[in-house]
Amino acid sequence: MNPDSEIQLVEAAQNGHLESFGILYERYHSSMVALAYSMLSDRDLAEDAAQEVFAAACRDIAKLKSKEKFAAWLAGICRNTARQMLRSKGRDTILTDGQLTVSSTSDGDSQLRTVVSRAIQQLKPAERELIVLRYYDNLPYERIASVLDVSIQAVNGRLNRAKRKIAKYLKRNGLTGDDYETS
Amino acid sequence: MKRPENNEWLDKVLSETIGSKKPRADFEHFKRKHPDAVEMLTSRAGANSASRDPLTIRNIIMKSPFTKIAAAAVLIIAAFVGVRHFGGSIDGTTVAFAQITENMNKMPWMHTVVEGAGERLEVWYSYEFSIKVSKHANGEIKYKDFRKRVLQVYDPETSTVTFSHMMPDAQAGMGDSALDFPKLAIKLFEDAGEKVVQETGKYKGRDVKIFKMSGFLGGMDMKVEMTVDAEKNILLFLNQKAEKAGKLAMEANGYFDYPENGPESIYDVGIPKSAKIVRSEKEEEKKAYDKAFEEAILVIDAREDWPEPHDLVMKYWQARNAKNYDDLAVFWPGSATWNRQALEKEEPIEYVFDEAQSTETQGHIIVPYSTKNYFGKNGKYSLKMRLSNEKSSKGRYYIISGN
Repeated sequence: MNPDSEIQLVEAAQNGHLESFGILYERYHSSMVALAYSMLSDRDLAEDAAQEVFAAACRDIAKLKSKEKFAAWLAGICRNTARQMLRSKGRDTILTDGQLTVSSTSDGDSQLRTVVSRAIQQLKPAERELIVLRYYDNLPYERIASVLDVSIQAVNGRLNRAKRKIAKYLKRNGLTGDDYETS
Repeated sequence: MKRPENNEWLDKVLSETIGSKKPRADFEHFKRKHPDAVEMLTSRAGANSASRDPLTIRNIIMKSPFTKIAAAAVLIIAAFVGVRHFGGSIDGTTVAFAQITENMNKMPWMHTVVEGAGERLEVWYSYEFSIKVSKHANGEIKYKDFRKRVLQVYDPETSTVTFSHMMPDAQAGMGDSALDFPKLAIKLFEDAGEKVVQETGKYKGRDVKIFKMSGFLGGMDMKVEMTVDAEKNILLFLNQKAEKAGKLAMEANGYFDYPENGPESIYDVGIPKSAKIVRSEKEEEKKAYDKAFEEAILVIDAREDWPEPHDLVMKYWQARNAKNYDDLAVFWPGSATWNRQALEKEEPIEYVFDEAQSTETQGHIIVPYSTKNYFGKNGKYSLKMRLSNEKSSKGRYYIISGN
């Protein structure tokens, strides 16, 4: 991803060029679904949230001053949208009570996935965001870094720390049986 | 990397657990679904849109997650006090913090000035009258009477005061606040909980305890310092810093004092007497509340027996802990319209109760109470529930407010 070209896309969208906004939409749609999913723990709701995020972005993109921060700006809208959805569902807390819905399977992996889901849920919200962004759609570090507005090195370090926590949780629940370390 | 095969295994398991069929990014579908938004964007073609729609500082604060959190975090304590007082619940995980808020609850008024993130906010709380007044730097003032469920908003641009009826569950505190303080506060402390350090020091000549917290939040390293009066155990000063890549990105300060008296009306905080009054009743909400209230009074008067005030308050909390909403709806008329899911999430708390006491208001009495834990440590009650018998044809008391 060329940062300069992204800034140009944002500028063009700010000047009413719909196709440029469309490219940004295609580029960040799955990131926003993943980010919303990390908060809402519901895939369908996350899809709806992403739609709302881009609708808001479409309306408000002219207000974005730091064009190089488009992804982080979008992520901010996404978090707010997800919080509003939680509120409208009458949930009292943010990011604390949901458990990620896991794909239903008929094989023995179902139990494993449930425990892994619990392991993800016990992470701090920022760590959960990172893990879901990474594994929901196998997002590259570069894209995650722009969405979270941190460096690629920070993404790598934090991802490793979050994975270590997950591995420890799984080990405590007897699911790995091996030591786990990452570089 | 000690066992790379485990890393691969974990990657696989995480992908299988979280991973989804790639969500379809269908821009054509988006355009059909959001024609208004698309039209708004395309209408800017040929215009210098950025200069047409400049951002105000307030907009920046509202729209940026980073500044929003930074600005909000300085109001953590105020938020907790508001939540606690007006009938909501707080997370009991931070015991010391809960103790501080409980002490602050006992103060007749709290006055807060928060500065930072390009914003200044001044807030007064009345614990006696369940009133919150907030004054923003742009001149906007909100006066909330939680007992009467009346909201007054002064708009400096139009020089009008709009009166409206608050939602019944607004008494859960400041949840309707734009910055959503309580939830952010809970989140911040949960995130930062593992790094709390307590020190002692001096603040304006007083002996103080300083709680230092830090945590990673919203893409930044957040640091919060709370300065607490060592004797009274109430908050005096709060400093919050947000750092990004080791550099200070945001700093805000909150100053707290506890006057005997506060503003008695919205006019006491600086709005011109010439401001026009506008009414904006949300009739449906009011009707739902009134209906629930009337139904509860009918039940109260129809029952063969009705508990005395002390027992009523005790039963109310027993019912609330047991999630017995039918009883709640009767003991506290109108509460049937509260946010049921929020109540559902409350953790049970054990309370102890004093005898009922009369008040200066005819037909009103109060029942002091406290958490069992607080009473055990301090030997006194820190909270109150207010009851009235005004609407009961049999003069039976029911709950009308509490903290």
